[in-house]
Amino acid sequence: MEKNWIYILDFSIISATAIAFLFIFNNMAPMIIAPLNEEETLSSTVLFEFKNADYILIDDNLEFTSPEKIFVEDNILINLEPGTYYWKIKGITESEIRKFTVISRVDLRLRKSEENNSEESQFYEVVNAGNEVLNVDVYEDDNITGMFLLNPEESENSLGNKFIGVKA
Amino acid sequence: MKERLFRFLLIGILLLSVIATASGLGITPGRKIIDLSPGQEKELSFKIINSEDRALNLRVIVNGDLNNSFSFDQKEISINPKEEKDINYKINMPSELTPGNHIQEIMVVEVPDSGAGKAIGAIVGVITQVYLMVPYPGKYAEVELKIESAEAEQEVSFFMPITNLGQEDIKEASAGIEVYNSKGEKIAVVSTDNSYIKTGEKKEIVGNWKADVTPGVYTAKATVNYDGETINLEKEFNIGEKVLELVDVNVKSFSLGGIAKFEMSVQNKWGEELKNVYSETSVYDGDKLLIDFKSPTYDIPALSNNTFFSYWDTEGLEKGTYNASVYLRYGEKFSKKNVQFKVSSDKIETIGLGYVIYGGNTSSGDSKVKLLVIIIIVLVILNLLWFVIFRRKMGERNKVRD
Repeated sequence: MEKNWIYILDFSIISATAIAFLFIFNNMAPMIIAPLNEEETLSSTVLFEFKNADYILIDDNLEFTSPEKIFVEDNILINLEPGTYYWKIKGITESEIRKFTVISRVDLRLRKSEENNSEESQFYEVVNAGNEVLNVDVYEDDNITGMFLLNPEESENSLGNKFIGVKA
Repeated sequence: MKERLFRFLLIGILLLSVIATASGLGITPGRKIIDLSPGQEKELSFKIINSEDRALNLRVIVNGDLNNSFSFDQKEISINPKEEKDINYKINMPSELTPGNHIQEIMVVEVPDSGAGKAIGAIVGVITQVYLMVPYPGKYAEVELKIESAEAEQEVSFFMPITNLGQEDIKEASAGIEVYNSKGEKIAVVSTDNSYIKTGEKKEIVGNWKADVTPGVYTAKATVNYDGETINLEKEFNIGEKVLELVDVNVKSFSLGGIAKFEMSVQNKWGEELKNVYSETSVYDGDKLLIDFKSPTYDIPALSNNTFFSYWDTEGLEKGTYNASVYLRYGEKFSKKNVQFKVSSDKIETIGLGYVIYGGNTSSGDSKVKLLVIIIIVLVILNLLWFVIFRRKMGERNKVRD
């Protein structure tokens, strides 16, 4: 009878230990959720989702020789330039390493400007809607008449009838 | 009547949908870098994004030295509103090409006065660049020097990303960095680890140096060695920031209604002399600016103090405590200190020049680790107690009984 009690106690202690370790593993070990490994995005604003982190490390190389270290415990939105990145989090241990890419996008928008217009000339508001700094070439009847730099989300009023955007 | 109104509205909506006020075009990626040897072939693609509410007719134009090496599935493209389209193309590299970077531009441009909707009068075009890297014969590398500046007594990191643009692997790449102060004296030598870099690969070598020096401008001279070849790089960097600190404010022989003479002791924490520094003091009554007074300009030698004099005419001023901001301006930069002036009939006291030192960023990780260690120790003790002591004792007791 007493032997049965010993076995019950054996079982209870082993189970309690296993449950405790599972609890620790689930609730304290760092866990990364997003971005997924090998994910590609056109957005420069990347949402990092994770659990149980003290800080996040982001670098452009797998060896993390010059990482950006951000002390953060909860999810965070980070603006990144186009390129390939590696990231991991550090809590009580280190998480797996994931790779993701912010794809470069050249995107040029034109709007008829409401300022400086006359019957002979039409100004346009040129907007950089992509995630790269752009060189914008301005043409008037196929002759290049000007050039300007536009940062992402920046705009400039310009006179011309053809606008070509290229990554600077 | 209702029918006429409906027709009028319909025509209006149709007109609005045809007269465009905006135009837009996107392309991705903005740039592609490809390692290709002469004679090789490669199939690639890019994506066009029509972000507007009207269909577009587009034309693909290639610009560069290798126009004849590029062939496209289609060069005249129709794209619907809000549509994204992949365009495939093939590169056939000529058999003879000089090594280095060959830049090709693929331009996608709107065809004037085309598409389902009317253009806005101007056309838009976007370019995706293709960088074709033809490897150099033998060993060839490109290196940059990046420096992460730090505060005094902290670690400065020298990063050198090395790109192997040669036809052969680089077996050993390392660097030696010499650090010089503003007088040109060598004050430190740092070395990096070795790295093996395959052809076409980019790797970073790193050197670290503890900056046990005064704040100031320093120069790093790096010599990068890779399999017998050498590249020299040089870059300036800062230790600490150009910081001026307001140490003390004194007003002597003051009577309310008269002119208060402020003596401000200012410390230059920078390792070099700062010239043309002056103080600007803004005094507030609640949110309202009462007065703004400045000192003349002063030069402060490196790591030393100087006293700045400035004057405040207190005519009409009432006794009380006033908020103030003291700016110490040097070039386009400034240090700011918020204080309070407690004005009484015969003295002005300065409140708020004490400094609160905040503790370091104690991470919650430390407490988590402590908790984890405690739980594990408790579990280990429980298991040891049970299996080594109690269980053995019970077993012995059972044996005696048997």
